[in-house]
Amino acid sequence: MFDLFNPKVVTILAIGICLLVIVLQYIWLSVLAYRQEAHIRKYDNAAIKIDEKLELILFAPTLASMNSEIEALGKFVGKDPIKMDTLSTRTLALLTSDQSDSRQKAAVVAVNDRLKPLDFYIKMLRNGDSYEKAYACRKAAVYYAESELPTIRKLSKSKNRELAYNAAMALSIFGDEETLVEIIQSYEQNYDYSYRIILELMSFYTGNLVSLASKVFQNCDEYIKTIVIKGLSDYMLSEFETAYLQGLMSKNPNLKAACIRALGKIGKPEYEHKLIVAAHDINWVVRSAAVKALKKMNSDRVKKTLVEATRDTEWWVRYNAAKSLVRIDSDLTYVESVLEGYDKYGSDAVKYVLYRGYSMSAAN
Amino acid sequence: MSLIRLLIYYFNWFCMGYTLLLSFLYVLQLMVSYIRIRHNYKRKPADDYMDYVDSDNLPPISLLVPAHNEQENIVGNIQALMKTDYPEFELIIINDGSTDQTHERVIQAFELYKIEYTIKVSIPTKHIRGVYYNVKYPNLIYVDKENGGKSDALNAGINMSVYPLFVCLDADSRIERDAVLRLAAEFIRDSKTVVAGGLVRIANGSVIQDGEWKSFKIPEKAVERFQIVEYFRTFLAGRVSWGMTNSLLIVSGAFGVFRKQTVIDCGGYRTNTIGEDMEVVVNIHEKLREAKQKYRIVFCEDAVCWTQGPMSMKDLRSQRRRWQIGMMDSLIRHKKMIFNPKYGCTGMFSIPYNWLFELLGAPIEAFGYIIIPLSLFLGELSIYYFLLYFTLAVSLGIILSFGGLILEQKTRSGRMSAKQCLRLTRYAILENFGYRQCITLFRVEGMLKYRSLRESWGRIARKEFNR
Repeated sequence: MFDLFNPKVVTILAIGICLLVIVLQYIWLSVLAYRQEAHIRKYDNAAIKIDEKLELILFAPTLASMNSEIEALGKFVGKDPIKMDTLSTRTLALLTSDQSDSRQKAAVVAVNDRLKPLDFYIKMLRNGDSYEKAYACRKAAVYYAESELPTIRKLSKSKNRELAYNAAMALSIFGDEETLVEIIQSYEQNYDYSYRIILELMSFYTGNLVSLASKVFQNCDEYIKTIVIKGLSDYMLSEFETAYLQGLMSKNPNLKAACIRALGKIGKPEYEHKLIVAAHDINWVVRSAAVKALKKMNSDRVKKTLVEATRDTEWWVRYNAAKSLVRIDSDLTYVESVLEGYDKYGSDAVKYVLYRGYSMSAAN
Repeated sequence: MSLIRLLIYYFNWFCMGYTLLLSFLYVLQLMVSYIRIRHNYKRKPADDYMDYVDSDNLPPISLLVPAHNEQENIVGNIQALMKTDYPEFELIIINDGSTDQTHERVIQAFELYKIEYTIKVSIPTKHIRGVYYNVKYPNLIYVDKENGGKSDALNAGINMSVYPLFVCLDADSRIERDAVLRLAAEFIRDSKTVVAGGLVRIANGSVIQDGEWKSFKIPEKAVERFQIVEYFRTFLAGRVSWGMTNSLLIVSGAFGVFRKQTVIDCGGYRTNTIGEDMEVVVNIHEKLREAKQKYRIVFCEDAVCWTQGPMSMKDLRSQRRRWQIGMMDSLIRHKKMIFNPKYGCTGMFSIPYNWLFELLGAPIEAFGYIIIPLSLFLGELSIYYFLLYFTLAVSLGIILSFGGLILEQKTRSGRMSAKQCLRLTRYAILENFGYRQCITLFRVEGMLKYRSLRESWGRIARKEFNR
């Protein structure tokens, strides 16, 4: 087959093509590398300069000098998107910092009013690619740009997951209850996202969490209900106690466990019996959640239940029971009974917890 | 034509075809990786992984660090790892029967004392001699066990851990402070994620302090410089492209995040192999495909781990032999996956590719080093075809290595100056004249000594990370 081509020509051609590709690659690499270096140098210097100028503004002795520094900063930033973004990040940090006093915060507000970083993000929201829009959604929410709410609502339905997720987070910051309820309910059909995203949406939510959760519960499956209850448990909202108690009757162990956790966090003595019953559930996930939840209750009945749970067949139940017991048994009577008892596994669990100082650990 | 000449004739044809096919596939990987890295860069504004650094909703994670004779680096590494940017994590150091001062140095440095412990044995391991702790470092646990190999140490770490995700780390590597956060974010981004691998970079020449890259200097030895180029090529061109098709067969043992229950359900790390990093991932592919469970194994080039590359040819030989043996071991164990549509893209493309090009590529290339000059000598090959073959082989290597450097620039990591990057191009060229051939021979040696060295790790000299 090679006889069809002149081998000399083929070889020279091949060498030529290969050399050409290599040379072109080298040129491309050089351009990229120098551009990258220049880019880093430019923007590292820009960040330093912006910090310097902001400092001059914050500590300007007079209003006139502050205004002239703001003008100078404006000229420096110009229309450069990276400088504007850096400025925005710095000013937002200053506004939310505890170390800035009211005069400094007023100065930062003046910078924002004059240089209008929000306009920059609104433009990005309208004209950027999907990822720039995603970023702009979050920034618009931080600046509380209500005018962009309709746009962000539309973007939350985007097929681009990053965009939809960031838009949802933005709506959460806005406290847009109606749309957020729809979004959370839509996750029923979309198991791709981790459930932690729903928890994150709830933790960023600035509206009325009780109202949000109530509306979600009206029309959602047990999976969503479980996640929302997980998200609510840290807030210890008494409004949902009935829902938690109903959840204890569920056949879904995850929902039961979430309700148990939530009731445990509330820690009312009247739930003690229900948690003790749950500590004997057939499912180890439920038992484990129950013994963990009992750590806020202090009665002898609870301690006896926990002692019994240290003899459970499931490691997680034993371990969590040991942690709870060590935490609540201040005179260590029950703890000693486990240590001196016949169950080596229970004894090991309690010893481990004691050595790791869980009774003293702030994390507990 | 005599039989030998006939064989030589057909082998030449085969070599040419093989090289062309390999060139095509490598260039395809390069292009796919380029598109992916560019896309990932564009995606960066939308990536809010840093928002999770203070979040209670990030899954807590166990950092597992198996250590065997790591006295030089272990204390420094533990100190660096304790500064990891992650809201809730535990650091489990597993001393796998070290015979040097590893144990003593760790105990002394952190004033650890032996404690009673309870452990959920999900995977059987060698005997644990003791568990050590100090309340001053509440998230540090030190496990001292009998020597059983890295896999066994990792299994012990898995048993010890209480969190749903674990990171597998090498004792002589340093991860960047946000690396774990970046990989953990993959598990939030998509709940099907079971494994996330990070980028491993050669630390030789770099100054890494407290988990932060400070500066880069091109290392003094040529063998280290060649490895820098090689790692860019392998990770940025190879793994990025396979990660996109969810058929990545290996996540570096130096740095990977795993869903603990998935690894336990797949039987944990296999102990009778020295390629545990590839074996666990291939095993996960096999088991989850058989269970028809949807899953995702991803590669994230922004999550960086720095590792020390071998500083001598002797150590490099030991390492590459081991890698080849490990790969061979895994591919043989899972041979039922080859061209088996039950295993999807992994079975139809990734496994056969690894067999044909990564595994058998070394002996074919080595054979070519003998046969092709012999053909020239015997007059079976004209000088022009010899030059053609030689040009293609060398050019492919250079193009790929340059491609790796270009991809490194595209990640915009900014860890090398332009001058340093262009200096490395010399090594991208030079590696084709000696270094690559040595690597091929080391790999062939590994295959020939497969049976005898299957469970032998060898020893590589280390030095302390630059400060």
